[in-house]
Amino acid sequence: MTITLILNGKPFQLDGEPRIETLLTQTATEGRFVVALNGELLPRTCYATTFLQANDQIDILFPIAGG
Amino acid sequence: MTERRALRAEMDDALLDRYSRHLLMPEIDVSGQERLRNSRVLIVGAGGLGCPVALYLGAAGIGALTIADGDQVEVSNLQRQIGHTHAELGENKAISLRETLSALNVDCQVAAEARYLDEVSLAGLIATHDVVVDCSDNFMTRDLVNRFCVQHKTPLVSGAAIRAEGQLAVFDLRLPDAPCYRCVYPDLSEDALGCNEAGVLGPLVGVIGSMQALETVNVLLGKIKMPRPLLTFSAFDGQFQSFRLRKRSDCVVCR
Repeated sequence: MTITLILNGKPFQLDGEPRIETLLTQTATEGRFVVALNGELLPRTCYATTFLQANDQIDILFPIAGG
Repeated sequence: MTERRALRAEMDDALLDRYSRHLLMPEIDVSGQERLRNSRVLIVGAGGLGCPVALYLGAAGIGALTIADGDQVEVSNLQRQIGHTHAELGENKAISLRETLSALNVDCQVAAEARYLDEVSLAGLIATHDVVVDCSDNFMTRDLVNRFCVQHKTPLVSGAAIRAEGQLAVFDLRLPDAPCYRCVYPDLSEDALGCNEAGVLGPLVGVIGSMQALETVNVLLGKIKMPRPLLTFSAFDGQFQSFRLRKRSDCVVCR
């Protein structure tokens, strides 16, 4: 199946099982990112278990250290 | 908050005049200003964020600021680090910023820790200040500062900026359900780019640093009743976004 999400402010077509893990694989996201679903940061344990719906807003954030 | 201190002498006419634009606000008034004047704030890092943080907090009448930085002022810093000038090239940043503040407000007592702090010194400073403002430029320091703030229940105002992206978070660790920095970012290996490699837009550090100063005043005045969200700012888009945070039951630092 395919659903359309809002990924970092832009429409994104997600193919396959609509879980965050699928999205991370499809976007080849790596490193120390954290994921927010509809404005709330999620624990890592939710990546495999949280199912996404059409129009969900996903933001992938990275820690920054510059001062 | 962590140690009892003698209150400073009340404000004289010159100081009432100096802080009059605060005193005119019923949300601050004389009692709020006295609260600020009897507060101690630790600023970790005297670079792009630390400069506006120190300048605004010093001007606003925080009683005592401690500024910690082991770096020297370089010419490439002057594009954004507005507390230093050409005359201070080669000078330690904490000392340079202390000099700038002493010209701005003698009512603010400024101490400079002109070195890279070891863990014991950092923990000692965090234990004896009311708020810690993290303006540092690496994850190792950010992790340590967070650990000691959790340990001593010292509120932490965290800011960061790189390229055209900024982030701001307030962790009021006096509250039982407050998340900490590691709840937000569980993985903090040291492989991120610094400003030296990646660049940073000059006024961006002013935006984030000014907001850190503002939130520090809010913490000291008791204006923060609810946990603040993580705020991100994209400088080229001119957009702020906020993200709700939660304490993590599996956090390696604060669980």
